[in-house]
Amino acid sequence: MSFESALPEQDLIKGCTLNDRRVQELLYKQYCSSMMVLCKSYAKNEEDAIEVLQDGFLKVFQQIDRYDARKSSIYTWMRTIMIRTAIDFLRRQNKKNVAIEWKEEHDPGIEAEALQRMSAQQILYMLQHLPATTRAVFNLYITEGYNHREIGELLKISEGTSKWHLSEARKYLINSLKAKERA
Amino acid sequence: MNKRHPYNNIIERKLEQLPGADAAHLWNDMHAILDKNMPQKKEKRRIVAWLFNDKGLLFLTTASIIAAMSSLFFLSTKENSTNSIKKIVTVSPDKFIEDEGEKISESSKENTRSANESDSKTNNNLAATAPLTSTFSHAIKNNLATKQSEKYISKNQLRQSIQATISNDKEHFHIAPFGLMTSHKDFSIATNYDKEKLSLNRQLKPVANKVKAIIRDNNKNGLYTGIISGVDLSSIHFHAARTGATKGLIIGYAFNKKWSIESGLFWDKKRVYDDGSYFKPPGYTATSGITIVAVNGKSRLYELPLNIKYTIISGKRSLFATTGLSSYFMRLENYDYEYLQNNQPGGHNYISYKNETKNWFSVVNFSIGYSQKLGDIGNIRIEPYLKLPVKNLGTGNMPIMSTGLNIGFTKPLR
Repeated sequence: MSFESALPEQDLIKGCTLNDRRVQELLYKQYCSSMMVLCKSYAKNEEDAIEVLQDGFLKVFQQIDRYDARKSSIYTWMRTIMIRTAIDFLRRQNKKNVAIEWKEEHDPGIEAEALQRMSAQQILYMLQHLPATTRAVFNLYITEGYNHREIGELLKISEGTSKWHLSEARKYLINSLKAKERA
Repeated sequence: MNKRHPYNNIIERKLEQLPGADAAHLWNDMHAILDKNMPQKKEKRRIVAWLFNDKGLLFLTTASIIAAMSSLFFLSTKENSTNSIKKIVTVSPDKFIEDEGEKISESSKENTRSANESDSKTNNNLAATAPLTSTFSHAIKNNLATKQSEKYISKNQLRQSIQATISNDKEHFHIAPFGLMTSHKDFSIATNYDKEKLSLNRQLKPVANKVKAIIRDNNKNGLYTGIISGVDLSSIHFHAARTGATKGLIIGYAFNKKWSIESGLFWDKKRVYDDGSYFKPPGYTATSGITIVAVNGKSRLYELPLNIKYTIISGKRSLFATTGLSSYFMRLENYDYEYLQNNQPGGHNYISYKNETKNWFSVVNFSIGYSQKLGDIGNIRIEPYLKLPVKNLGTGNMPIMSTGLNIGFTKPLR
């Protein structure tokens, strides 16, 4: 007898490819929570996060036949789709905004210990209070590990602008941490 | 990829601690979105859909079994009428012909005598009996020929027919002697009787040969083997059937044209769904606050059937029914179960067992089938079946019942 933590991916994918609601439900419920956390970190509030989540899952189900198990796990693939959906959502919200070139600024450091002392809700609160593009850059750079060139391509901004947003995010987080420390 | 900062992991881990979403509630919205953006193919026509749902499958299986039982009953009543002749011909066709010939000739003799006694003025018994015996021969030949063509020869029917012929001809026979003037009371009909018997034997010899051939055909026995493959629909008490498959080898021994015994080895793939009511793997105890709400099971197993086969209608196209027991030997069992924790979605767990259980004679098989002879190559057959458990099966201890359709090919080993 052996215990395994994951469902057989091939069965899930096959069922979803056939547009089988039962299998789609299984996949959805299996990854809903983790994807929701991801969406929350990109969205301003819970409603936006749910919208991104549902849009993302719709894309997952629509494009599942393109998924290649040899390249990545289903989780990684879905995560990529969710991030791109979040960026699309961000673009839709900021479509009237004109892209501005920002000069690169000094990258301020964040104390790891200070972050460690914060709760998950506090970190999420701080992230959600960042401006949308800044939040996206921060997430892509810090959480997903993209570099500024990649972020620039994704968000249709220059590398310099991406660096500026990251810097702004860090400044905000440092200030928030300091404020929390004082409190 | 960038050179990651030491606090990246901290943020990730912290965010993972956030409470999960209400997946069930969100799925309802997602379902609506999917229906709008990715509609499923148009539902199958109602009756077809109904036939393939749980109730429909139950109905089809029950209807098939009732039809088979009715056929058995109907054919058994028909068989009763043919049993008597079978008994005769099984013992000795020659004896049967001889006996019948003697009876006929005895009747002829008696009738002739009674006619002679009633009218002692007969001077030409031979002439008088000749048309009658000729009529008898003709009657027997006609009777046997007709019945042979139907492959059934009834002794009673034959006798009745002969007697009817005799009684009809009696009238002619009674009338005929009145017109004759000569009287030879002690005229012996012995010569006539011997000639009659010889004539009957000659006439019935080809019929006897045909009867012998039928007996040989009826006693057809021997080994046969074949392959089988089919679609399997398994469920727990006909609730939410899941599609699986079966394939395997069969071997059988035919005792005669009607009865056979069959066994073999099947490779089955079964899928089942349970709402948590029956799923009880060993060592599982319901933890407080945790409720299993859905189980999707997938098993790969060896099936060892032992069935009795009865051929209801035999011939080039035959109808048969089988019943017996199957043993299940589980090779691989995978169970994915979903649970609620304090009435909130708890998540999934996935359990896998290998070669864990052997369920000896744990399933009762019923099937009816249609078989078509393909010349000397063999037989092809289509066989809907129903498999009912006599005890709970597999590591999940679930009463898995199956229905489905097997298509097979068999070939005699001789």
